[in-house]
Amino acid sequence: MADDREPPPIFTDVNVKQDSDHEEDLFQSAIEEPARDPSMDSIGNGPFSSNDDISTGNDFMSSNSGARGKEEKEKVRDREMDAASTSSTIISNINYFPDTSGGDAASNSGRFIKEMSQEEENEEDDKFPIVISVSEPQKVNEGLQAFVQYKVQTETSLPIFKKKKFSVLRRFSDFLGLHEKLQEKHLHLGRLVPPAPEKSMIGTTKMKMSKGDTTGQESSSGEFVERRRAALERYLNRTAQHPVLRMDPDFREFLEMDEALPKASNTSAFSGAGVMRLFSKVGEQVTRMTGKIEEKDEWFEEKTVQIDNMETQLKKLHASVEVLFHHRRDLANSTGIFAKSAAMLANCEEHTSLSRALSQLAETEEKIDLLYQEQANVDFTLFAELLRDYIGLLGTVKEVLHQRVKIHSNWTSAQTTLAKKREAKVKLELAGKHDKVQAAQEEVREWEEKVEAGEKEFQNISAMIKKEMERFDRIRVRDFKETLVKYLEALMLHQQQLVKYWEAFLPEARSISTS
Amino acid sequence: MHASLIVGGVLKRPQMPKNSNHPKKPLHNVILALRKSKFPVEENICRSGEGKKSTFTGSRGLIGWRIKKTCDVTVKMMVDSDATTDIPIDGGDRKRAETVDLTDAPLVVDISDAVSERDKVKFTVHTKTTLPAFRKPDFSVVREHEEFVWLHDRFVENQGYAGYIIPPAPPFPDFENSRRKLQQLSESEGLMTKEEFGKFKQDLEAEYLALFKKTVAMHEAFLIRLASHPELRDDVNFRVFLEYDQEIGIRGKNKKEMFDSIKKIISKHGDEVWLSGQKDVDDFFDQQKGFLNEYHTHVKEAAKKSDNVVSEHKNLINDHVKLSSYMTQLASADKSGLSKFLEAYSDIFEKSRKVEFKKASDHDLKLTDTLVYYQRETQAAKDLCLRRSRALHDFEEANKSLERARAKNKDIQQAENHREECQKTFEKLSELAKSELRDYRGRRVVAFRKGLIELAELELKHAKAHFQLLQHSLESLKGEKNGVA
Repeated sequence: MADDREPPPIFTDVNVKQDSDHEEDLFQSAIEEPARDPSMDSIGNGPFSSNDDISTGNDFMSSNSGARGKEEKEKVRDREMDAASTSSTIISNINYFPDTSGGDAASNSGRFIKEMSQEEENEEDDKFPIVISVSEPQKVNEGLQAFVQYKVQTETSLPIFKKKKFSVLRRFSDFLGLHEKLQEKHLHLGRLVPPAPEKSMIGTTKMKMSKGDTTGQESSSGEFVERRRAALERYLNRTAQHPVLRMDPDFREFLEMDEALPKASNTSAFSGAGVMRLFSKVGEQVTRMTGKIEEKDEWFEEKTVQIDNMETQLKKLHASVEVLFHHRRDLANSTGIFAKSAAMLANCEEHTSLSRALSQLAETEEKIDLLYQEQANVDFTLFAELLRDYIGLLGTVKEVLHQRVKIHSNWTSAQTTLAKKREAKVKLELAGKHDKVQAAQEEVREWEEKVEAGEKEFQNISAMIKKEMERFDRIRVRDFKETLVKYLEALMLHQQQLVKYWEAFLPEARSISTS
Repeated sequence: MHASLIVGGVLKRPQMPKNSNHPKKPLHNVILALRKSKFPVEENICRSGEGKKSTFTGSRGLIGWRIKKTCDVTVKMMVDSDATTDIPIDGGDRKRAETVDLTDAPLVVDISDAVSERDKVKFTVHTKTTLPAFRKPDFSVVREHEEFVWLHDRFVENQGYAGYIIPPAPPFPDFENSRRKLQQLSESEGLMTKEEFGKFKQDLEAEYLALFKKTVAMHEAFLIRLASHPELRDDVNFRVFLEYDQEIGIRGKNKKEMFDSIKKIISKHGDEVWLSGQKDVDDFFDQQKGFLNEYHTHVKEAAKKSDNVVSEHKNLINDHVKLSSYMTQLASADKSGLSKFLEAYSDIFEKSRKVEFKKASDHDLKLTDTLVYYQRETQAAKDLCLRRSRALHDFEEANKSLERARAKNKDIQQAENHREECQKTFEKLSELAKSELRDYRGRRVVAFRKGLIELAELELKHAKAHFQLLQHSLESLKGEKNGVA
């Protein structure tokens, strides 16, 4: 895009000045050689420090163990990778395992992820010239007027932005409004506009009803806010990943403009627009079912079937991961309750060393309870959320495919009309009504143009979809691999922790004297 | 290999060949054929012991087991006539520490076979002895659960044993839960893939087997406790139980007896409440009574909670089946380079499930079972204290009536004799109870120590195995990744 080449705006930032020589190069090769550019360091590290105050159990942006600090600097993208080891507060400090083979497991896997990402470095889409973090959710107002405001912080190497680092305050409906605007502009061209997180009546109501600070992790609405925060962050970064969407003026305004955005009027579920949206969705479903075109392009035929299949499977898998998450939480709870019972039993046991061992058992079970909770968190934030995001994205893919079908039907109906007009013209000619032939000729020409435009539009969207899908598939494969590997690593660290707990307990059990 | 044939609830089993060179390790065979009562008996012909060809004709929802206690265990289960599987189950965990050398113990009892039919389990009780009271040194009889309960009741009723902790009767063999689960599974068979069904079935079988082994172990533990007790083992009823080669004619309780037993339970509870206020002359017992009451409450609670943990864990384990199956389906729906990755990933869930299953089972076996056993053992100790309290009460009453007799100057001699008798009973009982309670405490500490050590060792083993499994999986996913790229 021409926008890419825009010269950098007036330098207000010292850093920018320093590296202005690299500016063009930086965008081209932000990943390959970021180490050359000291300003990239701040981009890599920025989100960590800014997020400390809200760092919680599942906050992937929370500060990382220092061990891999150097690697971090090498790649902006590592920021996301690191989440694996920081996925929980307990786990982040583990670097102990009794087996020699297990000793460097964590660092091994860290390297592994690096290698994974290196393979794809040369792919343009995988660069992150913009890194966005959403943080510090804050409740504004009380009661029905209440809403949560998030700090959206952007760090970028793109010259189109006025600064390298900036932040704004945005509320949830602003995110929805942004999505609406992008969707309107880009969907009909065949671009895949990442969907914004869904509205949740229950979560929102809970948040509104609860008093005072709800952003803490303890309350259920706090959990909701934290999950939404993470989802919003993923949403913005997905959009920023798209080479065209990230240049959209509305997107840039969303990130950059200091003032509050005009309130998006039609995003509320209650509003008239919301109802209309619902109706139009139903209508689209109907046309989707009836308006099948005879597919001449095998690629599209195959893709449509495949997307449908994948959506079905993803939904099933997502449901079962949610069940897993719930059961893991139940297990955590019952373990916690058992720990309390064991502590009571220990209290009442008259044999001193047995009593001691039992209370150690209670402590061990308590730790395991926490571990299960962490694990449930990982089940949700890594596994379930990944699947949910992709169910949403596949919905977008389907919308785009449907858009193509609509354009095709416009084109074919234009063809039919053209044929009719031509026929009418010939009839007029035969009838010798020369005064009307002229007008008919005009109409024919008009429809010829329409047919031509329709065909062009159809070809354009088909080509765009193919290109977009290629990109989508590439990112999807990478996303799945990365996230699922992270998930496994988290599980592995949990087991490592479990080993530690039982190893500590075993001598306690052995020291029960039987004399 | 011997074959056993169960027709219409009658077990005919040829005598097992026993290797006389290894008297300490008798060849144990446990055969269990569990059926649903709604199927006609003649359909349930079970022939086991023929390896893979074990067949059950004509009925759904049938389970047949053949267990060799010498480690290799084969489970056969059929829910549909074509779905038969062999699953080896690690039976090595259950060591027979109870098998004592005959030179140390003159009476060794174990359960060599058990067959479950419908709502009955038949245990083959095998005895080896050097005691002259028995006619033969080595013999076996078949007993049912009700006969164990009968034996237990005889000990409880016998006033001569009032000073001993009567070993708690084994719990009723309750397979209802498993049976119901099996029923549910076969009903929902159409809703899942064959693979999923197989996995659920496999888990259910393992659970079932564990339950069955547990039941046998509980019944055996009861007999072992009796056999190793220097006084209780000489009981005439016990001898009848072990030796009499026909059914012990236990008729069902008639109405009067039913009423009596209910009355007994009520009066026992009444006594507990009434005597709880009793001031004990002996500090030892005063303290013990308080302790046992409190301990029983907590150990019961802990056992319940521990059991909850296991059942929640089982839910989680079941989720893995769907998870891995949906992952495979997603893999096949995905035409990109992700397909192989997801395929491999699905496998990890399956492997994790197996490790998690072991974790849950061992928690159950080592922790829950210890707690449950000591819940019953503590109850038995409480009962002993109650009997002693009653004796104390009788003694006090006798004292009072002696005083009254003296005041009235009537029947003094009779009252004195009565008082003396009560005193003797009480003192003897107290003395025995003291040493019994000390034994109980020692046994408890030993049992918990063993349970906790084994629990920790096994949890450690499984966590390590799980860690390594995940570690290797990550490595191979890496290889996978490189291979595709």
